[in-house]
Amino acid sequence: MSTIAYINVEKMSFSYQKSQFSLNDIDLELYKNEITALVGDNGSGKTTLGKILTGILKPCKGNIFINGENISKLDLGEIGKKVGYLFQNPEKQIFATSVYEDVSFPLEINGIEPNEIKDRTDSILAALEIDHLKDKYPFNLSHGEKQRVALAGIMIHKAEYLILDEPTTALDSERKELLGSMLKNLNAQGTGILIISHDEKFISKYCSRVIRMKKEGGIINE
Amino acid sequence: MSKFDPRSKLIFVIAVSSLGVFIKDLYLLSSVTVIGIAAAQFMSADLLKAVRKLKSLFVMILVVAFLQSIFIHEGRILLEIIDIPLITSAGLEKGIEFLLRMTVIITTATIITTSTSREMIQGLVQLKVPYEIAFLVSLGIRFLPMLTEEMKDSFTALRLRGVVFKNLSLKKKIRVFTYLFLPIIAGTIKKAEKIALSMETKGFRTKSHRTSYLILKYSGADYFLIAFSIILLLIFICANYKLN
Repeated sequence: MSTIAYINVEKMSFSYQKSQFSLNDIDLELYKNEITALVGDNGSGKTTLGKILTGILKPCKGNIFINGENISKLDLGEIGKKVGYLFQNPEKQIFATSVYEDVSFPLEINGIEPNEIKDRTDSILAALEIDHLKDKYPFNLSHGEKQRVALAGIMIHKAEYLILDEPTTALDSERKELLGSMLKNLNAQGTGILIISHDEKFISKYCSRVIRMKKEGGIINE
Repeated sequence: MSKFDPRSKLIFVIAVSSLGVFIKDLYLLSSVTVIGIAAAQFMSADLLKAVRKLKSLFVMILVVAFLQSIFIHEGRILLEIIDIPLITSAGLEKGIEFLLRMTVIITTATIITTSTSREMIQGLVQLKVPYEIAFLVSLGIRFLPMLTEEMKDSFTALRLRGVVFKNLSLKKKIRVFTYLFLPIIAGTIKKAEKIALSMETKGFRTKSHRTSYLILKYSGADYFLIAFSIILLLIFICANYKLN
């Protein structure tokens, strides 16, 4: 385990306004050299924690640091370049009328040179085996394909950490294998990964660390 | 006090909001506003919740009211900077007038929310509105908050794709907004498809005549409210006609 955590959660508490649910005094360190699984029962707060780690939800108490920077001081766009977040429903992350445009447009918006945009987009589409779909309309693809398009979209900034919410739900065993080996490769190249999942088989095969959410709003490191 | 028939509430809301739109005299408009707010309070409409929900709209209304008071250069000058009249009495009057009109429409609309969507559909049906249209109106009202949520989620997801919105030029900001439409429209169509499918499976309109367990009946209070609405409408129309 590397000594410096990429994501550091310190005494973080969170509760929804109109709900009994809360996360209490969570301390957590996530490292770039690990593929970590976040598991727990339905309603235990896995997705909530994932959303807090990427700044989508704001904690009521405590601090979260990404690579030493407090995320309360960062814009969501800046967080997105460091930590990619894959939603449970990939359709929420698809914005353009072709796969190629959907993956590449954030680079264009950020003023990256056209040659670099092409190189980066082509390589990410090839790595995820969706290069043959680049001219297709993303909303007509299968769920698994949409998921890979969304994944390509969040990986295009070369984020140093990925948080994937239930990435295996709509994948057949062959696609799960492909996703698993791709995540292993990414992790070997230095990208930290947190997988929020119920898929015990996938977790035991690909994750080196498991964090379990407790019903009463805490976590257990395993 | 909220147990008025949805039909009588609807008649009252139509009468008062119509007055809010057509009356030109400021004093009459102020009276209509007071009646609208008092009626909403009497019928247990959650005015504070409505104000919270419509906060952004209220800001816009205040801005428009302020602009009206600045750009209408009639009447007595109330504020001027270097001989340029900034706020005049007529401008201020127009601004207040706009504010009152919007307050009447918004507060009376909250009265409708004191009935459930089922009661409202039944009310419209018993007012001889075709069931399909009554159902569509109710569905449309319920769809609006979902659409707002969808927009918020899409904007968050877009920013998480590494788009730092505040750093972009206006041209790029407009371009980014065009990207928001696709997921929102696609999401809305999918939701509409799902609703249509579940309605079909539940046998929506399979029989030409629809019976209903809920049958609305007017009470004495409802007759009073309807009569009050009509009298109010007539009095204010006459007063407005005389004053202008």
